[in-house]
Amino acid sequence: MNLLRHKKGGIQIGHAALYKITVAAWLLLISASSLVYYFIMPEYGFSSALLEATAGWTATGIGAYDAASVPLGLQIFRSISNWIGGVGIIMLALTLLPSRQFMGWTLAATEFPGPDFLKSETDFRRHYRKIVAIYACLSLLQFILLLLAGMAPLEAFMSALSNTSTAGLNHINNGVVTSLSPQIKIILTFFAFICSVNSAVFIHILRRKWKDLKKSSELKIYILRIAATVILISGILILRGHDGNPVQTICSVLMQVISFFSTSGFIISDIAAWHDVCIIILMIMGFAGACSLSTGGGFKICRLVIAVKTMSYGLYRHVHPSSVRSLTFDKKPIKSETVVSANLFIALFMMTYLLGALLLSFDNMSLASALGYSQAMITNTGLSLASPGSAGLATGVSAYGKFVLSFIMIAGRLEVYPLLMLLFRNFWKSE
Amino acid sequence: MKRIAYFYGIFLNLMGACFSLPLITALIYMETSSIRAFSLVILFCLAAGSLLRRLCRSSIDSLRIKPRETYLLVATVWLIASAIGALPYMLTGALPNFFDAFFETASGFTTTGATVIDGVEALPRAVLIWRSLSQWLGGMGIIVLFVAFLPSFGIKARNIAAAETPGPTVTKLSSTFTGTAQRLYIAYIILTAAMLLLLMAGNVSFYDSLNHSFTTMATGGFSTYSNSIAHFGSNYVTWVITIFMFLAGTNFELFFVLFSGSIKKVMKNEEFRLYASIVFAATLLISISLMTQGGYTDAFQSLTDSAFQVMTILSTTGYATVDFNLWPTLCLMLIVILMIIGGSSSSTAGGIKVIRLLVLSKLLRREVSLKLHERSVNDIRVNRHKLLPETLSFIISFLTMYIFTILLGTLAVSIADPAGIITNFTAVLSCISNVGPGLDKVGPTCTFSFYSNFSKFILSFIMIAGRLELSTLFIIFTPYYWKPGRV
Repeated sequence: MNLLRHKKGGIQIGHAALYKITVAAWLLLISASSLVYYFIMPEYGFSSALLEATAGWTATGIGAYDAASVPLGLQIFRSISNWIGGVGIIMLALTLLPSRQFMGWTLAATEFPGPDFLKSETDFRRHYRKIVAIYACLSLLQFILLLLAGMAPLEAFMSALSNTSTAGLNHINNGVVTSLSPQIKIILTFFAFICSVNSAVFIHILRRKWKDLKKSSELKIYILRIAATVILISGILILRGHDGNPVQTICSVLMQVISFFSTSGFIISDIAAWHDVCIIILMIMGFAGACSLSTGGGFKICRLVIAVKTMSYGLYRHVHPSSVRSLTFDKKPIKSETVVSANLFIALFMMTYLLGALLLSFDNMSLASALGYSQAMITNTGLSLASPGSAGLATGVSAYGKFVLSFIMIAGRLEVYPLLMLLFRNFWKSE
Repeated sequence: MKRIAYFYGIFLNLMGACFSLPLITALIYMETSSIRAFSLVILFCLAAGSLLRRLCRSSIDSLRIKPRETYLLVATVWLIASAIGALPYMLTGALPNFFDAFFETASGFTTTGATVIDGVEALPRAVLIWRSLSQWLGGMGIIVLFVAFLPSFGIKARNIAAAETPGPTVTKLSSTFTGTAQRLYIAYIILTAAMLLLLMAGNVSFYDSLNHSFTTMATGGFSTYSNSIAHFGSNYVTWVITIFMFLAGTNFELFFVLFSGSIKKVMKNEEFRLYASIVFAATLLISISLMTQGGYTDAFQSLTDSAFQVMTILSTTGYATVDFNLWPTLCLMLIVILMIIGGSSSSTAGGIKVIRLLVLSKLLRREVSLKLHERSVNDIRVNRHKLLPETLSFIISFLTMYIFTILLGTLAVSIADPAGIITNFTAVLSCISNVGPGLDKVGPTCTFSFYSNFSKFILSFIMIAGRLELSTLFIIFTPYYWKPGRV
């Protein structure tokens, strides 16, 4: 938000400064709110407060406090920080678009309506407002629907805020929402899905550009990926004799898959009864996370699309070494540097994931938990599938471990580069 | 097609010749079942090979293999070699199941060293020497072997070698590629012989020394004992093997640079420096972790164990002197990371290779400069040589393919075998990087024997894919490979 104020003031700032402000703003927000948590609940220690604050701002579905023991005011604060953090990251992504953070300029331009979009300052601001308005409307709609479905007003308010930012539902039983009524579950899943698609989709819908919507390969792949995972998991469950009729099984799998892929990370189905394999499938398919320019995390579907195209083209180039065909996204050619940076980001994402697990392993937790937590944090899902018993609670993690978890969450949310830059000398020199 | 069939004919004959070493071993130790099995296999290879050559002789003068065909040739040669190499295991009754035998041979030729045999001591000695020999042959590349010793063959050696040699680039050591291949093999043979002598100096029998020299220099990791190098219980043997694993994971071209007398040039080589610093840092971290968390009290013992394990994993050999499954999590995580990195380019090691890691870090540095909109954005240079954009894009697509193959491989194996995520993930990782053992249920004291036939096949396939740097094998499964006219 600080960043926006700078922009509106019309102050010309360099790119290095923009990144410095980004990192500083996030660290400031997080440390200030961790103090709030710490002063209200000092018995848990500062590291827990930090984890809670970081999870709040990065919209990650993990917590350090048992939700039942947290005062109501603090819960509301967390939901609000979820919402601002979730929508704020889209604002940040839009602001940083020209500087190639989040996803390259060219790609966003293909997703967004009009080739000249983002070029004029006025358009830019109008879209900021539009997107905030869209997410506010979505939250309001969700709030009303949840009320109608019979949820208590305050709970519905918090759920609407948290779910819009795909932050999970930690205020309800630490994110285990299996006992809610089917209507509420459907509403929650639906909105988790809606909020994890590219916000350009809403703008297309508002402008009634259905053709453009159909072209969006990111949305298509996202839906296909969900469908494939659901078929795979429910197939395994049905073949191995899961209780309940097939339709019920498919529905419950669908809800859990959306909760995980949208990086919300609440437990909505009885995954404890699932076969181990299903959890592994969910973990492996979960790295990509949600779509770009959404409130979700992960390395983003548009990069997945580009990565698959790069691999296929790499093989093609071996057969036709002199080929100069360029890769396309949504049927528009993309620059080779965008292709490089998308693939590079996936590599960097995986490296950060391993580094996170390495840092966690200093704590001597089991290898599976270290890998599971690291994934849950870097994708901002918050639900560590390797130790699903703990649900959305970081139980049994030491103070050091909580610092590391917070670090990975921030790295995942800011898409690593702003933190990576801190290590480079020319970043500090460039003022 | 005839050209390729003719090539198969020669290849089969050569395989037949390679089987003579185990046959000699069988004769020395008078193992009747092995004598029969190996004689049968040799007869089969000679007969089938000669038949193919005779049938396809008409096209001998046009024995120019097109660049496109080299991929098919290399990929199928590796698959055929693994299938034929499996015959002795089946004929001697050591591994009656075809999938087991195929897995074991693929693991041999790709220098992985993952085994499905519980208790290798029970096997005939001839079979064991074949197991080690297959790794030695696969280490430098089966086809590079051809090029080195059959120069008159006339195929475009460079293309083939590029499809088989580890690393993104093949440097010229000599004016012809045959010359380069010969020199690489000479270095390989000299090092193997040196190691053989050093091991024998440490009171290891000739038979064991030969086996372990073969598998160490190939960074393979098959041992003639179930408890691997721990069997010898000697620090001397451990350190000799550690040093030779380090050498085997080094770029072989550097030996010639060293031979020409410029130690400075070796020290300045960026890949070697990164490789050495990874070894140093990982060894230090693991030995500290073992002293503080792992219950070690003797600093030298901790250093020995950690250096050996770091080298065996980084060079993708896969021996063991201790059961590192029991080590603290920090060590396990480091082992996973080392498995991914692997050795240097143009060595016998697997993994993504140190050079790609180097290029990746340089690319990230450039990406940061781009994000900061700096005016001067430099080319990517390694050892002062500018890398071409094509090379960079191949490196990038390799990295992405590597990540996705691991993820999808784990998925496939997990569906067939519910052995837990760590077991399945490290099994796939270990196979794609050609390491050998993984963690948990496929740890250094365990074997892959509990996997189903489906998983064994998938894992064998992943091993070969990893050895051929993914694209060489995957390419023959793409539609545009078979329809070259389609653009």
